[in-house]
Formats: sequence, C-alpha cells, structure tokens
Amino acid sequence: MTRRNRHPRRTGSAVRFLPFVALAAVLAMVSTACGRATLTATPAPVGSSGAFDDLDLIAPDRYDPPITMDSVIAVDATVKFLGDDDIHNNVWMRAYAEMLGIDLNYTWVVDGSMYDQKLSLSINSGDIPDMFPVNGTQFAMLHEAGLLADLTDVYAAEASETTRDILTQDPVALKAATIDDRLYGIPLTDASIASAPLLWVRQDWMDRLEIAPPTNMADVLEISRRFAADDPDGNGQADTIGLAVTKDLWGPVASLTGFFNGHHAYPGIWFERDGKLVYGSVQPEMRAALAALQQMYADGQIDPEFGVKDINKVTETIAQGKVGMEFGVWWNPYHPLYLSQQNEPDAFWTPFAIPSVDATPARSQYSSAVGAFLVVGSHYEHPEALIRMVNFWTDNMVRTQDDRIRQTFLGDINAPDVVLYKYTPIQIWEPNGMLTTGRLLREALAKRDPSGLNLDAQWRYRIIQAYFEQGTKEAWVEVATNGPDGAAVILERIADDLGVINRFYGVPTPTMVEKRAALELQEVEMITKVIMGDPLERFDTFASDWHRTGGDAITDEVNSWYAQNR
Amino acid sequence: MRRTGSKLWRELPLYIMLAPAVVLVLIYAYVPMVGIVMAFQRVLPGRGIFGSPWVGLDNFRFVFEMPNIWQVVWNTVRISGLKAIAGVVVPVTVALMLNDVRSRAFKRSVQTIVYIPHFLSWVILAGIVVDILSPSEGIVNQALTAVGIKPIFFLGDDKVFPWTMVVTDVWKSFGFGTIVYLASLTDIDPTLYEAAAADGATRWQMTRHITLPGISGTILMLSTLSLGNILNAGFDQIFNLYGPLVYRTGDIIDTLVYRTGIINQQFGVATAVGLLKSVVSLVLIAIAYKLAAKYADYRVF
Amino acid sequence: MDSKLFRPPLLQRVINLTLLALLAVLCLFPILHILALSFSSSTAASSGRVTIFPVDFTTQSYRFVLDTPAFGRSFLISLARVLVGTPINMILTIMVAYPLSRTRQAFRARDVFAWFFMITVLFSGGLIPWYMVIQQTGLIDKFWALIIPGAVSVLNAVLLANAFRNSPPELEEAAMMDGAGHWTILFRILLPLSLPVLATVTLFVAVGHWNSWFDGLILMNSPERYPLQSYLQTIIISPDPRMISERDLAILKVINNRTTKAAQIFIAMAPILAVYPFLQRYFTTGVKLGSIKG
Repeated sequence: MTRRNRHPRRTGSAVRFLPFVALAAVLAMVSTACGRATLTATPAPVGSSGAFDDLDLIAPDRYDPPITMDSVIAVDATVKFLGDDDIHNNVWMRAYAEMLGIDLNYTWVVDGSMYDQKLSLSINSGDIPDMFPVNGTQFAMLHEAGLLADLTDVYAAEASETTRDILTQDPVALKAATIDDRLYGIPLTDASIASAPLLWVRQDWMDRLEIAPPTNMADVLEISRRFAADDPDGNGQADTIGLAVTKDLWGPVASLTGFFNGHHAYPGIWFERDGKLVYGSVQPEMRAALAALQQMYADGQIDPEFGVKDINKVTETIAQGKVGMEFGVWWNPYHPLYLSQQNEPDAFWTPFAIPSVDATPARSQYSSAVGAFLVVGSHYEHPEALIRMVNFWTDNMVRTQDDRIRQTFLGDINAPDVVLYKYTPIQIWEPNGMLTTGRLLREALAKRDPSGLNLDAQWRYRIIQAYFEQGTKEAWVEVATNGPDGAAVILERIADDLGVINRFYGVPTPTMVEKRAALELQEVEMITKVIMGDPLERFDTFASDWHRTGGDAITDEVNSWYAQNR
Repeated sequence: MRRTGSKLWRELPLYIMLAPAVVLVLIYAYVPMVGIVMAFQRVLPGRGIFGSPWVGLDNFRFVFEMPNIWQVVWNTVRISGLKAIAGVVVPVTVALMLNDVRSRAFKRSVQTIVYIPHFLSWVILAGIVVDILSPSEGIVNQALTAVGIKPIFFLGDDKVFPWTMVVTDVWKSFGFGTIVYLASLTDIDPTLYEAAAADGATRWQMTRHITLPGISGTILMLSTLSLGNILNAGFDQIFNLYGPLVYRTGDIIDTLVYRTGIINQQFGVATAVGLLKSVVSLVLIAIAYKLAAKYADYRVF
Repeated sequence: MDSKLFRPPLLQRVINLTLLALLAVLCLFPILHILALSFSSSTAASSGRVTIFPVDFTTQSYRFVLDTPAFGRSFLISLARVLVGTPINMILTIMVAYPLSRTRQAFRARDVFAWFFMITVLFSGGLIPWYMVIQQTGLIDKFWALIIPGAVSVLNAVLLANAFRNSPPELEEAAMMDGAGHWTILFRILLPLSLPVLATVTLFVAVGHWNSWFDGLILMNSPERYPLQSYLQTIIISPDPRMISERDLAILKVINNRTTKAAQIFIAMAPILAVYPFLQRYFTTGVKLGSIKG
C-alpha cells in the first residue's frame, strides 16, 4: 500500500534545477542587493541546424533516413517557451531530429490533471502512441493487454554505461520495470530521498522566545506548547498554534509522517519486522504518537479545524504567520514557507532532523521515487530508438557540468521561468545526484571558492553568500535548503543510515485493488478522530478491523511478492 | 378543417424538423450506449468494447461488496433527496416573495443576483465556503455566537455535514428555479385573483388555492426531470468540501467510485455503477410520472 | 398578484423585502469577495485581510492576466463557442420541441420520439464509447467537438415543448383554418408567444457553453485549443497532495496566487454578468411555462 503511486506526468524532478521559479524571485532580490549586472537579456531559442555542433554532445547513432516517433506528453500551465517555440518545435525536438534522426511528434498534449484519462481514452480508442510515459498501474494493465514492447534485448545491446549506472543506483528501478524477467519499460528515476520528512521550525520565533533547538520529541512538544501559548509573533494576540496539519494528513507539507517517524512508527509503508513485511499504520508504535497528538490537540496546539483544511488553506495559515512548526520535505522553503515573509519580513525557518521520542535516533521514511516508466508500443518497429533517446539524456544532461549544455537543454539562468527539459518526457535523474551536487556546493562554500561549480550552483552560492555577508533576508530560502546546515545535509544523514524505505514497490495486488481505497479511508478517519479526542482504543479497533477486512490478505500477497523480489 | 392529403403528409414537416436532432442523437448518444456492455466486462486497454473478456455480473458484485456501499448509497439518496425537496421549496418560496414586490427595479436586481452563484464552480467556491463556515472565524458562526448559539462545525461534524451540503448547494442553484417559477407565476390568470378577492379570500387562501396550483405544473415538470439526477448527489461539491471527519455521512456513490474505480482504471466497474444509477432513475421517473398523471392529472408529455 | 387589492400588510412587506435583500447579499458576497481579491495585493490576499473591499488596491493581477496569451486565446475560443453553439443548439431545440408539443392526434409517433429522446437523458455508455464516437466522426481536437456532440439538449426541448403546449389553442386553430402549416404555426404564432421561455432557454444554453470545461480538456489535443473554463481548471485545481513533487512548485505557486486567480475568475464571469440583465426583461412578460391541465 504505497502512498507514492506517482503518475507518469510526474516525470522526474529537476532536483537541481528545481525551483527555478523560486530562484528567480530570490535572484531578483539578490540582484538589487549586489547590483544589477547579473541577468542579461532573455535568451533566444537554440537550434537552427548546426547549432548543436559546437556543443560537446555524446550522440548515439543517427537514423538515416530519419524515423518518426509518435508520443504524448503532459504539461501544466506554467510551461513556457523561448521566442517562437512551442511544444512541437523547440530545442529538444530539434536535437532529436538532428542528432538522433528521430522526428518526435506529440499527437496530443494535455494538462497534467487529465493525462491519465486522456491516455486511457486514447488507448481504448485504438490510438496507442509509439512511446509514452505510464504509471505503475497502467504499466501492468498495458502489459497484460500485450501492448508493450519487450525492451530486454535492445536495452542490453544499446544502453550506454551511464544509463546502466544511473538506472541501477536505485535497486528498485529496473526491477519494477521488469515482468517475468523481461524488461518492458525504462523507469524514470529520481532522488527517492527527496521525499523524506524533516522538521521545519520558525527560527525567528524560537529566537524571540529563547528556545533552544529541539533534540528530542519532548523538545518538540515544548516548542509546540510555547508557540501556541507565548505569543511568538509578539502581536499581543493569542492567534498562533503549535503544529500545522492538513486534512489529508500526509503529503509534502504540514504532514504527520515526520511526527510518527519520531515515535518509530512508519504509517503508510511496508517495512521488515521479524523477517516479514508489515504495514506501518497498524503497528503498536502508532499508539504513543496518536496519544501525543491527541494531547496537543486538546491543548489547542493543533488547529481545531485542521480536519477541513487542505494544503491551500494550511498554506494560508503559514502565510498569515499563525503557525511555526510543520513536518515537511526539504523543498518547503521554496513553497510555502517563503510566504511567511510577506507579513513578517524577519521570518525564516530552519530544518531539523526528525527528533526521537527516546534514545534511539528517529528514522525518516521514504519511498522509491520511481513511479513512472517510459514504454514503447508493441507495434512500433524501432524500440531501440527509446534507448538511444535515453542515452542521449543520461550521457549529456544528468551529470554534465558543462554550462553551455545545461543552458541549452535544461534551463537558461537568464530565463528561469522557462524549464526546457519539460519539453521531453524523458527526464531521468540520478538518484544520488541530488546529494552529490549538494556536497559540491557546500564544499565550495567552505572554501569560499565557487569556481568549480556550474552556473546554477554558482547562483545558489551567490545567494547564500548574500545572506551571510550582506544580510539579504530573502535569501534564507536557499540557505535553509542548500546551505551548510540546510535540509540537504540532513537528507545526507538520512540516506546514510537514518532512513526507512518502503519495501513494497510493486503493482497493487488483487486485494489491494479491491480494498485499499476503503482501508486507507478508514485509516485517515481513525487518525483524525483520535487526534480530535476519540479514545485511543479506536486505534486498536481499527488495527484489528484492518487485519480482518483485507489487511491480512494484502499482507500475505505483499510478502509473497517480497519473497520473489528481495 | 380541410384534409389535404394523408395524415402522413401533414405530419411530414414534423419529421423533417426532428430529422437533424434524431441523427445527432443517434450518433452521439445511442451509438455510445452500446458501451453499456462494458458493465459486464473486464475492460482491458486497447481491446476495445468487444475484445475485452466477459465477466458476467462480477463488476456488480464488486460494487455491492465495496465496504460501506450501503451507507454510501444511503448518503447519496439522503443528500440528493433533501436537495430535491429544498430545490423545489426554496425557489418557489423566493419566487412567491419576489412576486409580491412592487418595485420592478428591486425585483429585477434580486432576480439577477440570485442567479450569480450558479456561475461559480465548486472548486472556487470551496475555499470561500470553508472560510465562511469556519467555527472560529467564519461569519456564520460569529453570527450564531452573537445570539448565544454555540458554534457549529458545519464541515467537520458528520451529523451536520449533509445539511451543509444541501444548504450550500441550494444556495448555489436556486436562482435557476426561481427564474422559471417567476416566469410561470406571471402566467396565472389575474381574474382568478379578482374573483377570489370578491369572495373575501385571504391572501394565504389565494396562495394556497390559486397560486400554488397555478405553478404546480411547472413544479411537477421540474421535479420529475430532476429525478433523473437522484443518484448524483453532487460530486464536484462534495469532492471539494469533504474530508475524513465526514466520510461516514458525506461519502457518496460518485466519490466512492472515483476513489476506487477510476483511479485504478476500472472502467467496467464505473460503467456498472452508471448502469445501476440509470436503472434506478428510470424507475423513479416512471413512478413519478404515473403518480403525477394519476393524482395531479399532469403529464410531462 | 400585482394590484392594490392584494398588497400584503406593511409588516409582511418589510419582512419580505428584508429577507430578499439578505438573500441577495448572501449571493452577492462571493462575487464581491473575488472582485475585491482581484484588486488587492498578494500580501493582503494571502494574509486573509480581504473581505469585500480591496486592500492595497492594485490592477497588477488584471494586467498579468491580460498579458498571458493563453487566457486571451481561450477566452476567444469560448466566445466563438457560445456565438456559434447557441444558435445551433436553439434551432435544434426548437425543432425538437415543436413536434413533441403536438397532440397525439396531430402526431401519432409523438410518444415514440419522446421516449427516444428521454432515454438518452438516463442512459449512457460512459466516457470511453463517447470519446470513441467523437474520434470516429473526426471531431477530436476540432473546434466543432465542443458544439456538435452536445448540440441537442433534451431537457431544454422538454421545457420549450411545455411552453408551446400551453399557448392558447384558439390561435393555432384559427391559423390552421386559414391553411397554415406547421412551419407557419411555429414561426408566426408559437415562437413570438414563447419569447420569454425562449430567452430563458437561450440563456441556459449560452451559459452551458460558457461554463463547460471537461469536454475541452479531454477532447482537445493541445492546450492551445482549450476554451476558457478548461484553461481555468488547469490553474485552479490542486494536484493530489500525496503526489506533489518539487516539479509542481511552479504550478503550486500559481494555484496559490489568489489575486491572479481571482482576476481570471472574474474576467471569466464578466461577459455573462454583463449580458444577463439585458435578457432579463424577456423573462417576466407573460410566459406560459407550466400547465394547469394535462
């Protein structure tokens, strides 16, 4: 019962290019602080013929004569273009055509929210694209229907060293794409660690109330108490609470996952206990965490209306300066935490590793970031074309420090709103990449020498410097994420030894398909109600009901899958 | 009446008038209806309607075995039933009230204004509704506490939630009915009122015996037609406003199917549910039609 | 009940007016709130200080929206859709309503057609077959896909048919004595008499076209062809919170930007709000909508 069943449109993350948007905002402020000489005019699109020649690109064999490939892609309203480009005509399309001899053609382009439906409708009406991204469930169904090309041989023959290296960094990735020992898709990998929860606290509030950084759960509870009771924003009104929570309970912002992790409970994932996989939400450790939350709620430290507030509403409370602590993920400062500054210019947050409830260090849970696969329709005559396109990406984009290549294909620093790699569905990121670049940046900061960094990292370097040396307050966002004590450092520690990874990454089992939605609903309902005051016995009832009404069957299925897929 | 030619000749214009619509409906409504067979199949991608394996009543079994299905069905019926009733009572009442207003300017402005919420989608309204109904800061509860009533958690109390859904939905949609009923009211023969006044009838008696019967036809027509919607308790609204606190009474058929069926791409199940809903609607409309015909001497056709 | 004889007592009138005024305020509130948001600064909006008056007045959101090419483009598509789709829909509705309004003697197959149309209101094969038919008729990704598949609205036809049926039979009989055929009766007698209902139904049809968003999202192959409400959906809907990744940051910010959203929403509503009061005067001039006898 993984919670992170991603959709294919969630093709990878720009972990390094990440919040170009946020970078733009910070850049704007930093530029005014350190002089405007930085941003140049808006770049023009690259790619008239021959334009790629002076870039050192590693290109696989070119198809001559060129072949066509029909694909589809999901975009969102923020996808922008340079000059006269559009989704059918841009640097990536030109690169594929010129360098690989592949004419990539999107038969349809939809908003991400409609991708799954449009794909289903398309396939069911007989229009199967030549190459396209799918999620785990679609992957399994399409395979069952015999619509996917077997990629085992072409992968073995054509995948480059880099491709193999990157795709095997996450041990789960290729396995998830393999059925009956044959490979049917290329997994879109990413940094799984990016979803590990951390604790974010309003440092300026802690400073004002003279609270020391939290080292254990008791400290967290104390911070919560004081934030709620001691007027940390100094406005003379009792309008603050202790901990932010959304009605969905889980997610990248204001989630409870981190809190449960602090109590050694791991809701929503499957982990090993006594040699078998068990489901975290029904384990006894949940109880103590629930009790603590219940107490916090009773003391007014949790918003009494959290049960009806979704992520947007909770974002508002953060922006309004009503709450100072939340369990989220590493990129939270980019959104929504930066909003705190709108009303309080001195606001800033610091990250902490999840504090533990006892002497055993707390571990953060996370799931494999592979949720999508690139597949080839079984009718298509050139399945190896996908491998070549994948090679083109992995060989040239993932690890390169060559700024010209990055600026041309990934994102130009002078046009931070234009995220170039979104034009192709092939977005494979190195699972360990995020931590590596973080390390490089921190080394440069320590040496005070940014020369070895690529442009993007140099910008971050400059922003962080601006914070420390010029007091540019807005720059805290970058310091809190990528700075010397930022979230990236904490993620390193988690990746090392302080993580609990979800061991189940397969396609939903038969009983899951039938019962998961209902069981998850009961779970969220139970947790919400217990926090709001229902007796703790309700957890026990839930756990036994869970076992009885499908949980045991699911556990058996998961374990037999595990036995074959360790 | 002169008879020029056969009956068919005289009916010909009617057939000609119907022709384009019939063609369009055949193509875009009846041909797709063939897809109803998917309710009896396990729909596999790419196999199409006739290539997917048949599973008999398995999809229906799945539906009825979904946990809480009966609670969910009850929620659906209750919420849409209440909405249907309120959906008649409120517009009629407002129409009657408006009808009594002498100022045409006031009448017209109110008529325009009440139709406005209709244009806002639930995605937009949800945020506003959460704010207004907030137990701590919302206007409604502030008003309640001002008169000494304890704040009500409209969106978080599962006993209250269905009513909240009904009231907010009526608020959004009563404008439509009001317009229709207002128009219908002006249709009533004024001499009836004069005669009644001459007989010394009170206003209330006039309302009961002239006005209401006068628009009863419209009421029946709109009600019967809306019965076709009885099992659609308002997915957009509920999906945007519900949460774990109110699942017990707020989960409706469509939200349940959404979570189970569509996300897992089980089109067979989704179609089965659609078929069930259609059959129930048909039965209800047929009953309503017969009742209206028998007791109110009213036929929709 | 307009005449002086039937005026309710003063107290009742006051209560009446007060309640109606209250109702109007209740309905007006969300629009005013959105309007106020659209003219407020982002900071004021996100700190919840805006109720029905703008705070830190600024036209920045409107300028931003009108600068976004996608908005203008989708606006024009919706406009075209309404201007083209409404007349087509109305013509078809009228041509269905008239035969259905005839008596069984005048139209022996009337019930057959009534059932023919009513069944489509109740039964549907679902999304996949509908999509397939649209695809097979070559309409996917075409502007006409927004108009043709939905061009016959049975419920509106029933409304109109009822109106036709309730016009005074004397007029029709007189016309028929003079040798008038169906077409003449329809155009010369019924339509003019049913103007209010026609106006009402026209409004419903136009609003239906303007508000519809799902078909645009699913039938078009490119966001450039989205009508307005489809485009709006893409910037209003939040992704499933469990699946938000860093890549969604840009769109999260857009979705969270209440002032821009408010401006877009308001501009999207404006045409209807502007047109509606003009159609209003047709609604209340003696319409025959309901029926007293079967």
